[in-house]
Amino acid sequence: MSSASGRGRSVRTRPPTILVALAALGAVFFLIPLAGLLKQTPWSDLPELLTSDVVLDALRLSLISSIAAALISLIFGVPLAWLLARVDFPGRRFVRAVVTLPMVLPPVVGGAALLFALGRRGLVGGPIYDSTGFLLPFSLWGVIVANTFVAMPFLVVTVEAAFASIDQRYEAAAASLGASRLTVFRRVTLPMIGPSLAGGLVLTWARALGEFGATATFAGNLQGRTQTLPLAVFVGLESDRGAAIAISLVLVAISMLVLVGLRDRWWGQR
Amino acid sequence: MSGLEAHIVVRRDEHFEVEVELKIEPGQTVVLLGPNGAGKSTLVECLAGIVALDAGQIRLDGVPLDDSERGVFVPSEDRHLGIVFQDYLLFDHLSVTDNVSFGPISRGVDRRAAHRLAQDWLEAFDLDEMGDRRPPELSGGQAQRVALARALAAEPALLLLDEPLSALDTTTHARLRRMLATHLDRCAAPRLLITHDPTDAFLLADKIYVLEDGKVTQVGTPDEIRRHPATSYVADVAGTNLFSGICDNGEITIVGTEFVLHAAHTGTSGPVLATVHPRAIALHANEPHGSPRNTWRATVEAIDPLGDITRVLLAGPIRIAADITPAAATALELRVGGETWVAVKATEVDVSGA
Repeated sequence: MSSASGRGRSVRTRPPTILVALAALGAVFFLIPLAGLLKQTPWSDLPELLTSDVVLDALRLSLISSIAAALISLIFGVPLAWLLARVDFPGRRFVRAVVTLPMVLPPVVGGAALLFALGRRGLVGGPIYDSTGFLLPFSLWGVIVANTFVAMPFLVVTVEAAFASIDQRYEAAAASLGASRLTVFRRVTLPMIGPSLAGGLVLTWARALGEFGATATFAGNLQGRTQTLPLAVFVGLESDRGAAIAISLVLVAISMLVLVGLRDRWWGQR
Repeated sequence: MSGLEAHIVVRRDEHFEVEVELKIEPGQTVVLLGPNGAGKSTLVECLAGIVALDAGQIRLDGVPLDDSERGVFVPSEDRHLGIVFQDYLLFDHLSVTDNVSFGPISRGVDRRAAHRLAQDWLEAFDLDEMGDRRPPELSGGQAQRVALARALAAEPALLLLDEPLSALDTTTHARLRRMLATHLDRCAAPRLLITHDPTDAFLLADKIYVLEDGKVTQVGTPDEIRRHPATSYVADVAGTNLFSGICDNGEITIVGTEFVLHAAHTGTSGPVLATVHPRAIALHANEPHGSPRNTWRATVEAIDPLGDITRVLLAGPIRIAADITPAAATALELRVGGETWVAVKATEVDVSGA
């Protein structure tokens, strides 16, 4: 802190004790589980645990499904965000509410809803199964759908805010130079929201990676087919504590990497 | 018919309507001068195709761009405009070259040819070294030239300049205005410059349209407007006496004369613009004594009553307009062809770089 006045000693005001105490407790609350995890880690068995079939299968499925979910969210979420931010259509508020619902909905409920809609006897899943024999639940595609359902809202919310906040006169400038609306979107609007888009995409991917409830409900828990890292942790706690801890460490490491990567764009430089 | 012909009618709300008739010939610079809130930006939005007319029409080179009766509305991207915006609105995520080639590429010129074209424009504007830079790395003057190059590279049928100088400090302002004046000639299209700054208007315009409260209150060459302002707003801002001169230690020799104006504070020397507000000029029946540094004898050329004030146009070593009260005009027994003494305090002479 700088001095309170332009002359003399620098005067520092002491922060209120009660605030410091509560803040410290709050921070410790987040630190303790991490310490607990590290304390229980069977360090010597770790290499073997991390290369076991269960862990490698789960890691592979998690990476495929979370990356696929992030890409699908990108393809559909960006136009959706643009529509919500820029086009005044009837029912816009309703659409926005429906799209962001999975952010507050318990994921288990989301998974159940997906099952009722896309399952073998579901609203959409039934006719598809009857005509093609294709079944979404309990497959890798089911994992991807569940991940997308839960994670895409994060992209939409982030990118919609970005679309709404950029100076639209730049788009008017591009249009006056003869650019069609699609060219304006591609060459001006998208690059302008680039940082937000990147941040939203990473957040979406991270949310998909950690997804548990909807996946378990909609896609099940089959090792090698639908069992992602969080599901493997859950199963491991019952059967193989060491594996559960090893996978948890992997997820902590990935999350920390994401946070470090996002630091500049997201939380602002301090 | 080539050039711009527009009859623009837009209702902003029930109390404010913009109605303007505008005509600009190719190669002509028209300046739209008006105070803030007069409807200037509305007019730009109509011409740019952002806002549709409520009545009237806009024709560019004989082609209707907007015609409320016939239901014609050409969208912005098909109007072939070049717009220089107030804060330039350069695309920060593109290089200078990509900014300038944006128009040609959007109009279907292939990338290679567009980049060559952009290179030519950059050379024309002394920016050949700047092609790889990003707009945030440019100085104000360079950014203005890039904005102009970007607008002109699109080969516009109409060049719109929306307050291109108003975001600048006074020193840069004068320099960029000079630059703009030289570069505007590169554009053969009709040119419309929007400003609230009378000095910009007088120095850049072939013809000035004065816009007040949504209506054009006067149209004329800078000289006509300065000499015969039609309203008190015009008299107030557009009637300002403007002289170019050479400044040396507070003494400004007016170009084309041997007349010297004394100014109080001048850090500058060399070519300057001196302005004297008509209200700052005092007239006397006899030679004034005392404080005023500038006094001279002048002949009354015209007397225009403008309501609260009377504008007196004076010939002499320099031509200058003075605003006095009607009562003072009567008391001085002013008449056209008669003589009077003119007094201007040195502190009333404003000096800026030319």
